[in-house]
Amino acid sequence: MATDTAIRTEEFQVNMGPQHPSTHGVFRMVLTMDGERVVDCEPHIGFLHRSMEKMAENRLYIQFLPMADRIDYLSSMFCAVAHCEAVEQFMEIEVPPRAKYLRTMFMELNRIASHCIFFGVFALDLGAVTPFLYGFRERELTMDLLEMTSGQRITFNYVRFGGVAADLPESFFPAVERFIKVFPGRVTDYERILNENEIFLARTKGIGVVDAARAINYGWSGPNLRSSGVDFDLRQNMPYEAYGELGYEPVVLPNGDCYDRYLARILEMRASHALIKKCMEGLPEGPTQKEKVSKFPKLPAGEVYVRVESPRGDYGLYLVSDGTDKPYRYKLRTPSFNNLSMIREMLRGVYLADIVPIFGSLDVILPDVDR
Amino acid sequence: MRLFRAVGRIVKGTWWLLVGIVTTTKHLLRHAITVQYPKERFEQWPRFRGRVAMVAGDDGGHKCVACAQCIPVCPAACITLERHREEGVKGFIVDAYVIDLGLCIYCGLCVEACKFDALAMIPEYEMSVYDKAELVYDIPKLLSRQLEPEFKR
Repeated sequence: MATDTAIRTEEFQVNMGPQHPSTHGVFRMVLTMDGERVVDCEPHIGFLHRSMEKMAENRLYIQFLPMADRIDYLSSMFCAVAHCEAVEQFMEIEVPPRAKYLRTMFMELNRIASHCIFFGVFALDLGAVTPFLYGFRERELTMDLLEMTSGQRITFNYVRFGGVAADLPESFFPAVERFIKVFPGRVTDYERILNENEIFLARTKGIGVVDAARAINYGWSGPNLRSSGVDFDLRQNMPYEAYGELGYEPVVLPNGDCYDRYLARILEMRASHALIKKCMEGLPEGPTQKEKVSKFPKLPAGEVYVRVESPRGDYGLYLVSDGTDKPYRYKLRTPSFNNLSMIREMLRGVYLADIVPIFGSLDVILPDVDR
Repeated sequence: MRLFRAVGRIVKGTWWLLVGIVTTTKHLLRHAITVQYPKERFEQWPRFRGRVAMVAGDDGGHKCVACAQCIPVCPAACITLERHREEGVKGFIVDAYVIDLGLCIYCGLCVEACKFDALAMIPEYEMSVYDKAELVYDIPKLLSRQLEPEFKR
């Protein structure tokens, strides 16, 4: 065939976001398209930048405590625990065992809440509305438990230096029992509605495949990394709080496509549920707050790095103190940022319609990327 | 063969249709999770953190002694306190205690810091106003609504 009669295509640019509903916040992608295929993608972040690190450097440690909740608002317990652990390592105080268990339990409840959102929103991005309602229904159960203990639904402000703010209320015990009883059935509902759904499989199986080497090179962590076949979970490998005593077996899946990233989170919900059950069974008696911990600590000069396994991955906090009552440097290594860093490479060569499942399966949250 | 397959598909399709209808009917018979908001409301948990309020003492006045413990813990710096000393009187005298609820992030640290139980978080959450100035609460406004007994911490 002569070249002049062949169909010639021309590249064109499409702007996706920042107000696109499936970018989960404000994330802009400038896509260079060749027909239905993506040739290149230029991601733009920073629309939600609130300069959290600088705000921390201008505030006392206790003042930043409720603000740490707002770094990643779907998993605020983790940010607060990281902040408190860093300060506790400086002050060299040991948290009472009951407080450790409570922190662990609420982190797992928060993880379930976050994964419920992922389940609902990921399915909604692919056009299914029912899972969205299902996910939010179960999220309400965990939110209730968190609210009756901490006082608020999303920005808990529950963790304190050397313990937690308050012990469990009376109403918590029947509610958590009901939750433990009901939740596995609800996850079975989730699995039945999506796991073998033809449309869902067609849109996620084999899409956005990332192998283990590439995932490690880009600094992936959390369920994304584990669904690429890498057995790394801070809860097992570097236990903190009560995870060492409870023991945890991470969920590892081999394929590294969108479907596995989805399935990893569903299975993690079950694992978290088992951890909550273990926590409630082995909840030690005793105080929830270590006595005589200063509210306005003056930390000695030095540095500390704390890692917490958040629902999105490895949440790191690098805290440098110069001996005053404010941090000298408050560097956050947020998992969403690293998980998002591969988006350009992942999107090259895929169809336009596959962008949404690939982006959705990463489960990034934009305030966590920009912070 | 083709006929069998077609019939099989019809049977299978009908079966899944029935499954869907059964699920829908089940949910029809369950009680609703949603609440018709302005008419009905959720009951708040006793620890719910709504807005900050001042706790009235036995004489109906506030209990604040102007120790200023709540000011350094406030992340949003929304508390303003004016105080002075008077000869012959022990401690401070409060001139003004103002909380700008437009800045407040409802964290509850000021309530925890208060050693005299002068502050409390009350379960009031409908805080929208037309003018931001209405959100600046002074002592009479902070005292205007009190904590119900079941919400005592």
